[in-house]
Amino acid sequence: MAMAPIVRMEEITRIYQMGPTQVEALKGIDLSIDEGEYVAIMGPSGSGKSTLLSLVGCLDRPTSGRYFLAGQEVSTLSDDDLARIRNRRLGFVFQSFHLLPRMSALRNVEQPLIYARVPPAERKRRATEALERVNLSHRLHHAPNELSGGERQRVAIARALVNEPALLLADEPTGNLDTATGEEILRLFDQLHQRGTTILLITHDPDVAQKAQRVLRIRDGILVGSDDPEGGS
Amino acid sequence: MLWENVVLAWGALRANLLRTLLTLLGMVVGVAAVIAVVAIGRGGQAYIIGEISSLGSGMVWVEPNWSQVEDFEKPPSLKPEDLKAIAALPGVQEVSPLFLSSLEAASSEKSARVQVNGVGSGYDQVRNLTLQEGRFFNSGEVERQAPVVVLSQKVAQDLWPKEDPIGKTLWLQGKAYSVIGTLKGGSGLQASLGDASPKEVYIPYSSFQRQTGQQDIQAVFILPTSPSDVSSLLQDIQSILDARYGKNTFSVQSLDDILGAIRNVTNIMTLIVGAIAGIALLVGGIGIMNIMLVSVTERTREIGLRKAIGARRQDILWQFLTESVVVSSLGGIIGILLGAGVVSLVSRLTALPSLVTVGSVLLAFSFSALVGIIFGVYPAFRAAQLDPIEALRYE
Repeated sequence: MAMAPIVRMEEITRIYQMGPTQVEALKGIDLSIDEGEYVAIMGPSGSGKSTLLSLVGCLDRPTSGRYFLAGQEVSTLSDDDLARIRNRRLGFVFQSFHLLPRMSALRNVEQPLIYARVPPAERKRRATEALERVNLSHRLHHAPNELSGGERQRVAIARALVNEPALLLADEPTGNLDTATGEEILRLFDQLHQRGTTILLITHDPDVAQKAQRVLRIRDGILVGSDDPEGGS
Repeated sequence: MLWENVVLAWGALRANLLRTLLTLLGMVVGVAAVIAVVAIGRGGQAYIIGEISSLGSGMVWVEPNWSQVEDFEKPPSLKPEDLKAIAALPGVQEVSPLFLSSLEAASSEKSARVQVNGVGSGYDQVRNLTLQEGRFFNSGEVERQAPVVVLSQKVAQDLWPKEDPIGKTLWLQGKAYSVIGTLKGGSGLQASLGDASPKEVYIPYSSFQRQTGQQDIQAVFILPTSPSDVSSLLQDIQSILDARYGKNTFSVQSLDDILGAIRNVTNIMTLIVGAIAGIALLVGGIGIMNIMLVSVTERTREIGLRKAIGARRQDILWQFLTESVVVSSLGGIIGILLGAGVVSLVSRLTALPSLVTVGSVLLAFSFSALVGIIFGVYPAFRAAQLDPIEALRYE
């Protein structure tokens, strides 16, 4: 059913200049994620997975190679254009939630729509809908410190979904949660996947990764692709 | 978007209420100082100018140019023909010579040394004198050297403490003058002089000349028909006198010249003190910058997140710039209120008029907003330049 891939990376490298030395964080990544897929990228710390996430998330530009997001070449766009892409095409879920502390759940979810210049009334309607999708319609006006860890992450997921992104990017989404709550969040990802959301999940935890449809491994800046979630090194 | 930023700023400022209030205080003190200093300076100026204008608004006078007088025993003098020539000029309403002498004055019961002014019939208008009772002498009385006198309030009270002096006889060095009018006491400055206020009487200059034998006219006062064409009148009089007596033998001056000089002096004073108060504003601005830099550092993660969800550099820049402008304008508004309060207190306790003008309020407000922009730009720029990846990782 999927035609063009949502993510297509060709020969992506990322080299950091650290003083006199060059650090090659990514050494030629080829990655393709189709619409509706649920992919996990797994790797230990220092493997380059964070760098890859930044590149897929358009927070950074590759040193070389080409990156198409939803058919658009994004590796050469300006900062402002990348901000627009992040706003319209991507949704981020972080390990530490990154909610704005003094705002209600609803206001938090509205934030991306503010940058998309959506008028206030529609903003409110769409944010409410997004919170309903993560089963938080009873917590609209609670501030983050009045919510449990799982609820906070669900607010963050609602915020990631509110702009109808082409790709949901999750970086260790269960890292700050206990096992039961983590399971609950992963079940939510499953549901979202069932309903057609394309998800890229980044983790070091095999138990989390195995929930995905397809698991890729990254090590020393190279994808050592494997579709076997259980597979050892 | 602007409204969103104001809402955001308000939330952020409320979250650190004490810090916000202390930052505000710097602006409040600065703005209040500027408002108060400028208003009190203007008020003082208006007061002094009002006082001086009450001596005869638009008044012009002629006197010997003292800097060129060689023999002070015999200064140059004017003749009655000169007065006629001046009176014939366009734009002249009244002309009066002024003779001065200090003489012994007595009523039937008391006596005092008074300043005798020998003047023309229009002198009350020229010098803005207002009558308490009776009338000023007319040109007919000047013509026939009538023995009539008008008393200042002080003389009237001193010589006739219990009675109405009108119709009574005042003896000036043994010569009888009949009292036809008394003047109102001065207000403001003159009133505050109290006992030192001048003991003056006014008689027709013709009577003065006859009594003292003094013929030389050394001072002439002129009332122009309208205050606007004083400068051309000054030139006309000067050229008549220059032609008759030589260049700059006599000097022609107007009260406006004096007022202009006073205005200049008080303006410079206000400017200097205002500039010092402005330094307080500068310090307030530095306080805002300091707090904004702290705020940017504290909210690095928020900035990272905002960038991740689609904020462009300029969105972040505006968010923080709005915040600093909200702080500074809020400080400006409170400072204006405080400054206006101080001014109205001062004007209640003193005779100074309160002069907080719409202009100065608008100026203070826009200046405080400007301080917010100037001192907010750098912190906001720093926020906008943050790298989203690093900012998201910031602990």
